[in-house]
Amino acid sequence: MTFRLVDPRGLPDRPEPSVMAPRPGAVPDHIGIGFLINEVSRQSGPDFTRYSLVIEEVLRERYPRVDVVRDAKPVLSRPAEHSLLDRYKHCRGVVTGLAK
Amino acid sequence: MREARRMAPPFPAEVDDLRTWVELSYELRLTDGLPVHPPLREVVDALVAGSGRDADDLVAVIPPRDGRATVEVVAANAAMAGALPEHMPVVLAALEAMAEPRFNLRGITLTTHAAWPLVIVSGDEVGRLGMATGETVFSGGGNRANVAIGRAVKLVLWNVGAQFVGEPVKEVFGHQGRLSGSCIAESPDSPWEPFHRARGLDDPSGVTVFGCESPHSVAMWGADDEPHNRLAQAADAMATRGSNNMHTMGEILVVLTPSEARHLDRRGLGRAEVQQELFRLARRRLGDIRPRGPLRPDASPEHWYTWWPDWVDQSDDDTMVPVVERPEDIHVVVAGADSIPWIAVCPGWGNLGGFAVTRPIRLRAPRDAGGAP
Repeated sequence: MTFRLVDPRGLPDRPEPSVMAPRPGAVPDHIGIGFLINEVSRQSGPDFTRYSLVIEEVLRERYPRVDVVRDAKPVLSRPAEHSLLDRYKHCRGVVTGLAK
Repeated sequence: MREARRMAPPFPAEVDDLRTWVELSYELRLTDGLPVHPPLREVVDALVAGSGRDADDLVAVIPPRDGRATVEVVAANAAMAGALPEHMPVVLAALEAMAEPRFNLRGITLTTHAAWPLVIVSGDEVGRLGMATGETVFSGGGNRANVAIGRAVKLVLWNVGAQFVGEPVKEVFGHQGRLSGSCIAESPDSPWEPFHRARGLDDPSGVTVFGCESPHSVAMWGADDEPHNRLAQAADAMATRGSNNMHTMGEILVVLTPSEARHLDRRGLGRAEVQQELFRLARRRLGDIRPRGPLRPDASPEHWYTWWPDWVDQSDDDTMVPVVERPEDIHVVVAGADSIPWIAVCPGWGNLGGFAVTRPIRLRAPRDAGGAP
Protein backbone atom coordinates (compact mmCIF):
# COMPACT_ATOMS: atom_id res chain seq x y z
CA MET A 1 0.00 0.00 0.00
CA THR A 2 1.23 3.50 -0.83
CA PHE A 3 0.78 6.45 1.51
CA ARG A 4 0.83 9.92 0.00
CA LEU A 5 2.51 12.67 2.07
CA VAL A 6 2.41 16.48 1.99
CA ASP A 7 5.65 18.43 2.38
CA PRO A 8 5.27 20.58 5.53
CA ARG A 9 8.16 22.95 4.78
CA GLY A 10 6.68 25.55 2.41
CA LEU A 11 10.10 26.10 0.88
CA PRO A 12 10.57 29.58 -0.53
CA ASP A 13 11.50 30.08 -4.14
CA ARG A 14 14.11 32.70 -3.42
CA PRO A 15 17.74 31.65 -3.01
CA GLU A 16 19.12 31.20 0.47
CA PRO A 17 22.59 32.61 1.15
CA SER A 18 24.97 29.69 1.22
CA VAL A 19 28.42 31.09 0.60
CA MET A 20 30.40 34.02 1.93
CA ALA A 21 30.82 37.03 -0.30
CA PRO A 22 34.18 36.98 -2.11
CA ARG A 23 36.97 38.83 -0.36
CA PRO A 24 37.82 42.14 -1.97
CA GLY A 25 40.94 42.22 -4.07
CA ALA A 26 43.23 45.22 -4.25
CA VAL A 27 41.93 48.17 -2.24
CA PRO A 28 41.25 51.22 -4.38
CA ASP A 29 42.41 54.68 -3.39
CA HIS A 30 38.96 55.79 -2.38
CA ILE A 31 36.85 53.32 -0.42
CA GLY A 32 33.61 53.40 1.52
CA ILE A 33 33.36 51.45 4.74
CA GLY A 34 30.20 51.06 6.79
CA PHE A 35 29.54 50.26 10.43
CA LEU A 36 26.03 49.18 11.33
CA ILE A 37 25.58 49.20 15.09
CA ASN A 38 22.99 46.93 16.62
CA GLU A 39 22.63 48.84 19.86
CA VAL A 40 23.62 52.46 20.48
CA SER A 41 25.46 51.82 23.71
CA ARG A 42 25.59 49.18 26.33
CA GLN A 43 25.57 49.40 30.08
CA SER A 44 28.95 47.74 30.44
CA GLY A 45 31.39 45.54 28.63
CA PRO A 46 32.20 45.69 24.93
CA ASP A 47 30.89 48.68 23.04
CA PHE A 48 30.71 48.34 19.29
CA THR A 49 30.39 52.08 18.72
CA ARG A 50 33.77 52.71 20.31
CA TYR A 51 35.22 49.64 18.64
CA SER A 52 34.13 50.96 15.24
CA LEU A 53 35.79 54.31 15.99
CA VAL A 54 39.06 52.53 16.67
CA ILE A 55 38.80 50.57 13.43
CA GLU A 56 38.04 53.77 11.55
CA GLU A 57 41.17 55.38 12.97
CA VAL A 58 43.29 52.44 11.80
CA LEU A 59 41.72 52.52 8.36
CA ARG A 60 42.37 56.23 7.99
CA GLU A 61 46.02 55.70 8.82
CA ARG A 62 46.31 53.08 6.08
CA TYR A 63 43.94 54.54 3.50
CA PRO A 64 43.74 58.33 3.55
CA ARG A 65 40.62 58.46 1.39
CA VAL A 66 38.10 56.51 3.41
CA ASP A 67 34.43 57.39 3.59
CA VAL A 68 32.80 55.99 6.70
CA VAL A 69 29.08 55.47 7.18
CA ARG A 70 28.04 54.71 10.74
CA ASP A 71 24.47 54.12 11.91
CA ALA A 72 22.68 52.45 14.76
CA LYS A 73 19.49 50.49 14.24
CA PRO A 74 16.54 52.22 15.92
CA VAL A 75 15.40 48.94 17.51
CA LEU A 76 18.07 46.35 18.17
CA SER A 77 15.73 43.38 17.83
CA ARG A 78 14.52 44.19 14.31
CA PRO A 79 16.33 43.83 10.99
CA ALA A 80 17.52 47.13 9.56
CA GLU A 81 15.03 48.85 7.29
CA HIS A 82 15.84 49.11 3.59
CA SER A 83 15.94 52.90 3.84
CA LEU A 84 18.76 52.57 6.36
CA LEU A 85 20.63 49.95 4.33
CA ASP A 86 20.47 52.22 1.29
CA ARG A 87 22.96 54.49 3.01
CA TYR A 88 25.56 51.74 2.64
CA LYS A 89 25.11 51.17 -1.06
CA HIS A 90 28.43 52.71 -2.02
CA CYS A 91 30.40 50.87 0.69
CA ARG A 92 33.07 48.36 -0.19
CA GLY A 93 32.33 46.51 3.04
CA VAL A 94 30.06 46.82 6.05
CA VAL A 95 30.84 45.65 9.56
CA THR A 96 27.86 44.89 11.74
CA GLY A 97 28.30 44.68 15.45
CA LEU A 98 26.47 43.22 18.39
CA ALA A 99 29.30 43.43 20.92
CA LYS A 100 27.65 41.38 23.60
CA MET B 1 15.51 23.88 -9.14
CA ARG B 2 15.89 26.96 -6.95
CA GLU B 3 18.54 27.26 -4.26
CA ALA B 4 16.31 26.75 -1.21
CA ARG B 5 14.85 23.59 -2.65
CA ARG B 6 18.28 22.32 -3.61
CA MET B 7 19.65 22.90 -0.10
CA ALA B 8 16.76 21.19 1.70
CA PRO B 9 16.71 17.41 1.56
CA PRO B 10 14.13 16.03 -0.87
CA PHE B 11 10.77 15.19 0.63
CA PRO B 12 9.17 11.92 -0.51
CA ALA B 13 5.77 12.34 -2.13
CA GLU B 14 4.81 8.92 -0.82
CA VAL B 15 6.02 5.99 1.27
CA ASP B 16 5.15 2.33 0.97
CA ASP B 17 5.55 1.51 4.63
CA LEU B 18 4.41 3.88 7.38
CA ARG B 19 6.89 2.28 9.77
CA THR B 20 9.62 4.13 7.92
CA TRP B 21 8.07 7.52 8.76
CA VAL B 22 9.48 7.84 12.28
CA GLU B 23 13.11 7.58 11.22
CA LEU B 24 12.44 9.58 8.07
CA SER B 25 11.01 12.48 10.09
CA TYR B 26 14.23 12.68 12.08
CA GLU B 27 16.47 12.27 9.05
CA LEU B 28 14.70 15.09 7.22
CA ARG B 29 14.75 17.25 10.36
CA LEU B 30 10.99 17.61 10.31
CA THR B 31 10.81 17.52 14.09
CA ASP B 32 12.62 19.13 16.98
CA GLY B 33 12.91 15.83 18.82
CA LEU B 34 9.37 14.90 19.74
CA PRO B 35 7.73 12.28 17.51
CA VAL B 36 5.34 13.58 14.84
CA HIS B 37 2.50 12.02 12.88
CA PRO B 38 3.00 11.57 9.12
CA PRO B 39 1.37 14.38 7.09
CA LEU B 40 -0.85 12.01 5.12
CA ARG B 41 -2.54 13.55 2.10
CA GLU B 42 -6.03 12.49 3.22
CA VAL B 43 -5.53 13.94 6.71
CA VAL B 44 -4.10 17.18 5.34
CA ASP B 45 -7.00 17.54 2.92
CA ALA B 46 -9.46 17.11 5.79
CA LEU B 47 -7.64 19.79 7.80
CA VAL B 48 -7.68 22.18 4.83
CA ALA B 49 -11.40 21.51 4.43
CA GLY B 50 -11.88 22.25 8.14
CA SER B 51 -10.34 25.66 7.67
CA GLY B 52 -12.94 26.61 5.08
CA ARG B 53 -10.16 28.23 3.05
CA ASP B 54 -8.32 27.50 -0.16
CA ALA B 55 -5.27 25.26 0.20
CA ASP B 56 -3.09 27.82 -1.57
CA ASP B 57 -4.11 30.81 0.58
CA LEU B 58 -0.97 32.37 2.06
CA VAL B 59 -1.30 32.65 5.83
CA ALA B 60 2.13 33.97 6.76
CA VAL B 61 5.74 34.13 5.65
CA ILE B 62 7.79 32.57 8.42
CA PRO B 63 11.31 33.83 9.23
CA PRO B 64 14.19 33.30 9.04
CA ARG B 65 13.88 31.12 5.92
CA ASP B 66 10.85 33.13 4.83
CA GLY B 67 9.04 29.93 4.04
CA ARG B 68 5.49 30.19 2.75
CA ALA B 69 2.92 28.98 5.23
CA THR B 70 -0.05 28.36 2.97
CA VAL B 71 -3.19 26.79 4.39
CA GLU B 72 -2.06 23.41 3.05
CA VAL B 73 1.43 23.73 4.52
CA VAL B 74 -0.06 24.74 7.88
CA ALA B 75 -2.41 21.77 7.61
CA ALA B 76 0.54 19.44 7.00
CA ASN B 77 2.15 20.65 10.22
CA ALA B 78 -1.18 20.46 12.04
CA ALA B 79 -1.49 16.86 10.88
CA MET B 80 1.96 16.16 12.31
CA ALA B 81 0.81 17.73 15.60
CA GLY B 82 -2.30 15.57 15.78
CA ALA B 83 -4.72 18.47 15.25
CA LEU B 84 -8.32 18.05 14.15
CA PRO B 85 -10.06 20.01 11.36
CA GLU B 86 -11.95 22.14 13.91
CA HIS B 87 -8.61 23.31 15.36
CA MET B 88 -7.52 24.85 12.06
CA PRO B 89 -9.26 28.26 12.38
CA VAL B 90 -7.45 28.82 15.69
CA VAL B 91 -4.07 27.78 14.30
CA LEU B 92 -4.50 30.02 11.26
CA ALA B 93 -5.63 33.02 13.33
CA ALA B 94 -2.64 32.59 15.64
CA LEU B 95 -0.20 32.51 12.73
CA GLU B 96 -1.82 35.53 11.12
CA ALA B 97 -1.47 37.40 14.40
CA MET B 98 2.22 36.45 14.60
CA ALA B 99 2.74 37.78 11.09
CA GLU B 100 1.75 41.30 12.20
CA PRO B 101 4.90 43.46 12.08
CA ARG B 102 4.46 44.69 15.67
CA PHE B 103 4.79 41.10 16.90
CA ASN B 104 8.31 40.91 15.44
CA LEU B 105 8.15 37.16 14.91
CA ARG B 106 11.71 37.04 13.64
CA GLY B 107 13.02 38.68 16.77
CA ILE B 108 10.96 36.88 19.39
CA THR B 109 11.74 33.43 18.00
CA LEU B 110 15.45 33.98 17.33
CA THR B 111 16.37 36.01 20.40
CA THR B 112 18.75 34.90 23.12
CA HIS B 113 15.93 35.58 25.61
CA ALA B 114 13.87 32.73 27.11
CA ALA B 115 10.64 33.93 25.56
CA TRP B 116 8.21 32.26 23.16
CA PRO B 117 4.91 33.15 21.46
CA LEU B 118 2.11 32.15 23.81
CA VAL B 119 -1.27 31.50 22.13
CA ILE B 120 -4.25 32.59 24.23
CA VAL B 121 -7.71 31.43 23.09
CA SER B 122 -10.76 33.18 24.52
CA GLY B 123 -14.52 33.25 23.99
CA ASP B 124 -16.99 30.71 22.66
CA GLU B 125 -14.42 28.63 20.83
CA VAL B 126 -12.88 27.55 24.14
CA GLY B 127 -16.05 25.64 25.02
CA ARG B 128 -16.79 24.49 21.47
CA LEU B 129 -13.37 22.86 21.19
CA GLY B 130 -13.53 21.54 24.75
CA MET B 131 -10.24 23.25 25.61
CA ALA B 132 -8.68 22.89 29.03
CA THR B 133 -8.66 26.02 31.16
CA GLY B 134 -7.94 24.56 34.60
CA GLU B 135 -5.18 22.46 36.13
CA THR B 136 -1.81 22.59 34.31
CA VAL B 137 -3.26 24.99 31.74
CA PHE B 138 0.21 26.21 30.77
CA SER B 139 1.30 22.69 29.90
CA GLY B 140 -1.75 21.76 27.88
CA GLY B 141 -4.07 20.62 30.63
CA GLY B 142 -3.94 17.08 29.26
CA ASN B 143 -6.12 18.29 26.43
CA ARG B 144 -5.77 17.45 22.74
CA ALA B 145 -6.96 20.84 21.46
CA ASN B 146 -4.60 22.87 23.67
CA VAL B 147 -1.60 20.71 22.88
CA ALA B 148 -2.31 20.20 19.18
CA ILE B 149 -2.91 23.90 18.50
CA GLY B 150 0.25 24.94 20.31
CA ARG B 151 2.28 22.17 18.73
CA ALA B 152 0.95 22.91 15.23
CA VAL B 153 2.07 26.53 15.54
CA LYS B 154 5.44 25.39 16.85
CA LEU B 155 5.96 22.94 13.97
CA VAL B 156 5.10 25.63 11.41
CA LEU B 157 7.80 27.84 12.92
CA TRP B 158 10.25 24.93 12.89
CA ASN B 159 9.54 23.45 9.48
CA VAL B 160 8.51 26.51 7.47
CA GLY B 161 10.71 29.05 9.23
CA ALA B 162 13.64 26.67 9.71
CA GLN B 163 14.06 27.96 13.25
CA PHE B 164 16.68 25.38 14.05
CA VAL B 165 18.68 25.47 17.26
CA GLY B 166 22.06 27.10 16.87
CA GLU B 167 21.46 28.00 13.25
CA PRO B 168 20.23 30.62 13.84
CA VAL B 169 18.32 30.24 17.14
CA LYS B 170 20.59 31.50 19.91
CA GLU B 171 18.24 31.30 22.89
CA VAL B 172 20.45 30.84 25.91
CA PHE B 173 18.29 28.67 28.19
CA GLY B 174 15.25 27.63 26.16
CA HIS B 175 11.54 27.71 26.84
CA GLN B 176 9.05 24.87 27.15
CA GLY B 177 7.06 26.37 24.30
CA ARG B 178 9.98 26.00 21.95
CA LEU B 179 9.58 22.24 22.27
CA SER B 180 5.91 21.58 22.77
CA GLY B 181 4.32 24.81 21.67
CA SER B 182 2.43 26.96 24.11
CA CYS B 183 -1.33 27.45 24.07
CA ILE B 184 -3.68 28.34 26.92
CA ALA B 185 -7.42 28.99 26.97
CA GLU B 186 -9.21 31.54 29.11
CA SER B 187 -11.58 30.18 31.72
CA PRO B 188 -15.33 30.48 31.14
CA ASP B 189 -15.54 31.02 34.91
CA SER B 190 -13.97 34.45 34.62
CA PRO B 191 -16.15 37.19 36.09
CA TRP B 192 -15.10 39.48 33.28
CA GLU B 193 -15.64 39.71 29.56
CA PRO B 194 -13.42 37.46 27.41
CA PHE B 195 -9.87 38.66 26.97
CA HIS B 196 -10.18 39.40 23.24
CA ARG B 197 -13.20 41.62 23.90
CA ALA B 198 -11.27 43.57 26.48
CA ARG B 199 -8.78 44.14 23.67
CA GLY B 200 -11.42 45.59 21.40
CA LEU B 201 -12.79 42.72 19.32
CA ASP B 202 -16.55 42.13 19.14
CA ASP B 203 -16.24 38.62 17.72
CA PRO B 204 -17.48 35.65 19.77
CA SER B 205 -13.97 34.19 19.87
CA GLY B 206 -10.46 35.48 19.54
CA VAL B 207 -6.88 34.41 19.70
CA THR B 208 -4.09 36.53 21.12
CA VAL B 209 -0.40 35.88 20.68
CA PHE B 210 2.10 37.32 23.14
CA GLY B 211 5.83 36.74 23.36
CA CYS B 212 6.65 35.95 26.97
CA GLU B 213 8.56 33.89 29.46
CA SER B 214 7.16 30.84 31.21
CA PRO B 215 4.84 31.56 34.14
CA HIS B 216 6.36 32.73 37.40
CA SER B 217 4.30 31.47 40.32
CA VAL B 218 2.89 34.00 42.80
CA ALA B 219 1.32 32.27 45.79
CA MET B 220 -0.64 34.33 48.28
CA TRP B 221 1.78 33.71 51.16
CA GLY B 222 1.20 36.28 53.85
CA ALA B 223 -1.45 38.21 51.93
CA ASP B 224 -4.83 38.92 53.49
CA ASP B 225 -8.06 39.47 51.54
CA GLU B 226 -7.30 43.09 50.69
CA PRO B 227 -6.95 43.46 46.90
CA HIS B 228 -4.08 45.89 47.37
CA ASN B 229 -2.06 43.34 49.33
CA ARG B 230 -2.83 40.50 46.97
CA LEU B 231 -1.92 42.47 43.87
CA ALA B 232 1.20 43.79 45.59
CA GLN B 233 2.29 40.15 45.78
CA ALA B 234 2.05 39.93 41.98
CA ALA B 235 3.56 43.36 41.46
CA ASP B 236 6.65 42.25 43.34
CA ALA B 237 7.12 39.39 40.88
CA MET B 238 6.54 41.72 37.92
CA ALA B 239 9.16 44.32 38.82
CA THR B 240 12.28 42.21 39.22
CA ARG B 241 15.71 43.76 38.70
CA GLY B 242 16.85 41.54 35.86
CA SER B 243 13.70 41.50 33.77
CA ASN B 244 13.56 43.02 30.30
CA ASN B 245 10.33 44.76 31.27
CA MET B 246 11.91 46.58 34.20
CA HIS B 247 14.58 48.08 31.97
CA THR B 248 12.82 48.52 28.63
CA MET B 249 9.10 48.34 29.60
CA GLY B 250 7.02 46.75 26.80
CA GLU B 251 4.18 44.46 27.90
CA ILE B 252 3.60 41.82 30.56
CA LEU B 253 1.01 39.08 31.19
CA VAL B 254 -0.67 38.41 34.52
CA VAL B 255 -2.86 35.32 34.82
CA LEU B 256 -5.34 35.10 37.69
CA THR B 257 -7.05 31.88 38.71
CA PRO B 258 -10.84 32.11 38.45
CA SER B 259 -11.23 32.19 42.23
CA GLU B 260 -8.71 35.04 42.53
CA ALA B 261 -10.47 36.98 39.78
CA ARG B 262 -13.86 36.44 41.42
CA HIS B 263 -12.45 37.60 44.75
CA LEU B 264 -11.11 40.80 43.24
CA ASP B 265 -14.35 41.30 41.32
CA ARG B 266 -16.38 40.96 44.51
CA ARG B 267 -14.17 43.61 46.06
CA GLY B 268 -15.04 45.99 43.25
CA LEU B 269 -12.12 45.52 40.88
CA GLY B 270 -12.77 44.77 37.24
CA ARG B 271 -10.03 43.93 34.77
CA ALA B 272 -9.26 47.61 34.14
CA GLU B 273 -8.99 48.32 37.86
CA VAL B 274 -6.63 45.38 38.30
CA GLN B 275 -4.46 46.76 35.49
CA GLN B 276 -4.47 50.20 37.12
CA GLU B 277 -3.56 48.84 40.54
CA LEU B 278 -0.77 46.64 39.19
CA PHE B 279 0.56 49.59 37.19
CA ARG B 280 0.63 51.66 40.38
CA LEU B 281 2.30 48.92 42.42
CA ALA B 282 4.76 47.25 40.03
CA ARG B 283 7.65 49.70 40.29
CA ARG B 284 11.24 49.87 41.44
CA ARG B 285 13.36 52.69 42.74
CA LEU B 286 15.49 54.10 39.94
CA GLY B 287 18.61 54.17 42.09
CA ASP B 288 18.37 50.40 42.49
CA ILE B 289 18.14 49.62 38.78
CA ARG B 290 20.00 52.48 37.17
CA PRO B 291 22.41 51.14 34.55
CA ARG B 292 25.98 51.13 35.72
CA GLY B 293 29.31 50.37 34.17
CA PRO B 294 32.14 52.07 32.32
CA LEU B 295 29.82 53.33 29.61
CA ARG B 296 27.39 54.83 32.10
CA PRO B 297 29.69 56.19 34.80
CA ASP B 298 27.18 58.66 36.22
CA ALA B 299 23.53 59.70 36.10
CA SER B 300 23.95 62.48 33.55
CA PRO B 301 21.25 62.71 30.86
CA GLU B 302 23.40 61.20 28.10
CA HIS B 303 23.37 57.98 30.10
CA TRP B 304 19.62 57.87 30.65
CA TYR B 305 17.52 55.09 29.19
CA THR B 306 15.86 55.99 25.91
CA TRP B 307 13.29 53.24 26.39
CA TRP B 308 11.35 55.17 29.01
CA PRO B 309 8.82 57.98 28.50
CA ASP B 310 9.79 61.53 29.39
CA TRP B 311 7.58 61.61 32.48
CA VAL B 312 9.90 59.14 34.21
CA ASP B 313 12.27 61.51 36.02
CA GLN B 314 15.69 59.92 35.47
CA SER B 315 17.48 62.69 37.33
CA ASP B 316 16.17 61.47 40.68
CA ASP B 317 17.35 58.16 42.15
CA ASP B 318 14.15 58.00 44.21
CA THR B 319 11.87 57.96 41.19
CA MET B 320 9.70 54.85 41.26
CA VAL B 321 9.93 53.46 37.74
CA PRO B 322 6.88 51.49 36.49
CA VAL B 323 7.50 48.12 34.88
CA VAL B 324 5.49 49.17 31.80
CA GLU B 325 4.52 52.50 30.33
CA ARG B 326 0.73 52.21 30.58
CA PRO B 327 -1.80 50.14 32.58
CA GLU B 328 -3.11 48.58 29.36
CA ASP B 329 0.34 47.12 28.74
CA ILE B 330 -0.44 44.71 31.58
CA HIS B 331 -2.52 41.92 30.03
CA VAL B 332 -4.84 40.27 32.54
CA VAL B 333 -6.18 36.80 31.68
CA VAL B 334 -8.18 34.37 33.83
CA ALA B 335 -7.07 30.72 33.68
CA GLY B 336 -5.79 27.90 35.83
CA ALA B 337 -7.30 25.61 38.41
CA ASP B 338 -10.21 26.93 40.42
CA SER B 339 -9.07 25.22 43.59
CA ILE B 340 -6.76 27.85 45.07
CA PRO B 341 -6.44 31.61 44.50
CA TRP B 342 -3.15 32.04 42.70
CA ILE B 343 -1.47 34.35 40.23
CA ALA B 344 1.07 33.74 37.48
CA VAL B 345 3.27 36.43 35.96
CA CYS B 346 4.70 36.00 32.47
CA PRO B 347 7.24 38.75 31.76
CA GLY B 348 7.41 39.85 28.16
CA TRP B 349 10.44 40.37 25.96
CA GLY B 350 10.43 44.02 26.91
CA ASN B 351 10.23 46.77 24.35
CA LEU B 352 11.93 44.61 21.73
CA GLY B 353 8.85 42.89 20.31
CA GLY B 354 6.46 40.04 20.94
CA PHE B 355 3.75 42.59 21.69
CA ALA B 356 0.25 41.17 22.05
CA VAL B 357 -1.72 40.89 18.83
CA THR B 358 -5.35 39.74 18.86
CA ARG B 359 -7.24 38.35 15.89
CA PRO B 360 -10.79 37.01 15.59
CA ILE B 361 -11.32 33.31 15.12
CA ARG B 362 -13.45 33.24 12.00
CA LEU B 363 -15.31 30.01 11.40
CA ARG B 364 -16.11 29.30 7.79
CA ALA B 365 -18.26 26.55 6.32
CA PRO B 366 -16.04 23.48 5.87
CA ARG B 367 -15.18 22.72 2.29
CA ASP B 368 -15.27 19.41 0.56
CA ALA B 369 -12.26 17.39 1.71
CA GLY B 370 -11.27 16.98 -1.92
CA GLY B 371 -10.44 20.66 -1.95
CA ALA B 372 -13.23 21.82 -4.28
CA PRO B 373 -14.71 25.21 -3.38
